[in-house]
Amino acid sequence: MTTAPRTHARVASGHARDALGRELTALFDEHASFVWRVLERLGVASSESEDALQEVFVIVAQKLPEYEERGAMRAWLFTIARQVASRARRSLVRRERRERVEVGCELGDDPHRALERSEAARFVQGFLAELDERQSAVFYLAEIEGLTAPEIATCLGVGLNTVYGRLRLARERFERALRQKGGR
Amino acid sequence: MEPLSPRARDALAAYRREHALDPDLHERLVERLATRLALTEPAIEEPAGPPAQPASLSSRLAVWATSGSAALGMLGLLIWLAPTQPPMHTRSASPSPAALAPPASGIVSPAPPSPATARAEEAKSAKSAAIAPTVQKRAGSSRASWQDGQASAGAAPPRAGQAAAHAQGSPSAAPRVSAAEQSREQQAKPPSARARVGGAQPAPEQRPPARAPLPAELDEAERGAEPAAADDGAFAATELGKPREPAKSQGSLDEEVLLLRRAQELSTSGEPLRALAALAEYGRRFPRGKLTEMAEVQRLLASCDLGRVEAARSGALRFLGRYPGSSYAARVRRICAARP
Repeated sequence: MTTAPRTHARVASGHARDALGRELTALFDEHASFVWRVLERLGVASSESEDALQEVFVIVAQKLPEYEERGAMRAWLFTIARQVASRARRSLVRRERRERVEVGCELGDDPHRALERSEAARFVQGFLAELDERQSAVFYLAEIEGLTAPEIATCLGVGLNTVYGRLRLARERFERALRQKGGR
Repeated sequence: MEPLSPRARDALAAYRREHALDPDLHERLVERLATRLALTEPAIEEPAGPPAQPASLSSRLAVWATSGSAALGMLGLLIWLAPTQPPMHTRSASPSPAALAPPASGIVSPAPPSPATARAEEAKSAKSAAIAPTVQKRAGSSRASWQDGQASAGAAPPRAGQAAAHAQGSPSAAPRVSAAEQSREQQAKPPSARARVGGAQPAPEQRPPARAPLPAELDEAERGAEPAAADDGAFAATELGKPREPAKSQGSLDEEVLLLRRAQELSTSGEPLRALAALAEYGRRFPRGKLTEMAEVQRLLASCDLGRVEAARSGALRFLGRYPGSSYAARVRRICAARP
């Protein structure tokens, strides 16, 4: 059904893959990065993201036998990821001080991750943070994750025209921001 | 809709690539997931015998099914098929996330129980706990929720359902909104030779009793944490897509990371003064540190926590002048926003 990422060396985890079964392994290989980025975008702290990713796929494993809407796999994964992210954030909120969370100033970036990123990636991250949240979500799912408009509409619970409208505006802003950046 | 320019596509590809799951971590997580599922689901364990203590009837059925006992397997199938919890009820009574979840169809293959059906049994018994839909609440973070108001509570809006039907019904005919799809996962894996520093976490420290900060301590912390070097944060168009230079001095970078993590932990655990002291130490030891920008943001947040609102706000303005393209700019602009 799916093609696994080509760059993975799987020698060490062959046993684990056998235990997971072909379908779940293929799902993990194809969509783990998608879920990883979505969890990050949904505000899961870097210290929690491994656990959150695992939680998503545990739920996937439990629900997979019942799952039949194969065409909307990423929308389904997004829905599960959002629930997991919501729980992860709530547990984080319990640990953090209230005011910091209220103003949204938490430092989600692990120093390692921040350092590893290129200027271009940081520019995109900054742009997404600056953009209106609704446009940002559509732009992210369309341009970073390559979801179709119907998939995005499913994920976000909005109409197709809304998706196209927000995407058009966000694209224009992105191109404008890039031009401004390059013009300096 | 016009396609994005090549520069825009390059920048997005860089983001996608660098925010992807590291291949080594990917493999490690596969193993973790297998271990976790083996602990919770006897059905996918190696056929070396039943688990020590099956947790429930469904777990026992799963074990029996895998051990090849046909009669008990049929019993398991019958129990599984019994409509203990009509799936449609779950769907209709759930908020929108559940409506987006796949339908729990009762139509299954009439084959004897397999690991898959055993997993279904597990899933059913654990359904309410595992995926009980929760009404989304904003946790406060601006990026915390993408759910639109119209879908945030109650049943899913009809339009979402239509869109879902559209997506499933004709995935191949679904209009593509991005060219990113083609190169999405091919580019998604970062080079394995990325500059990754050891993941050692500083040991949690005992918190000292809280006390009010002394002005002298504050001044010292503020002075010491002031970064001596600044990167202008801008990047030329030609740099798009290029990864940053790997750290030259791994040991020094380790220390930078550890110090900042320590400051971050202190800050989030309600000890801004000690966080400032750690940041002051960072400024002294790494006047041209690679993480100076992040250290500066932490310093501003800690100042705000200490009630030094004016200092934090004026520091935020200086930060924005120094790092106009910072990915922390939005957060820095909101600094002390909840303070009068």
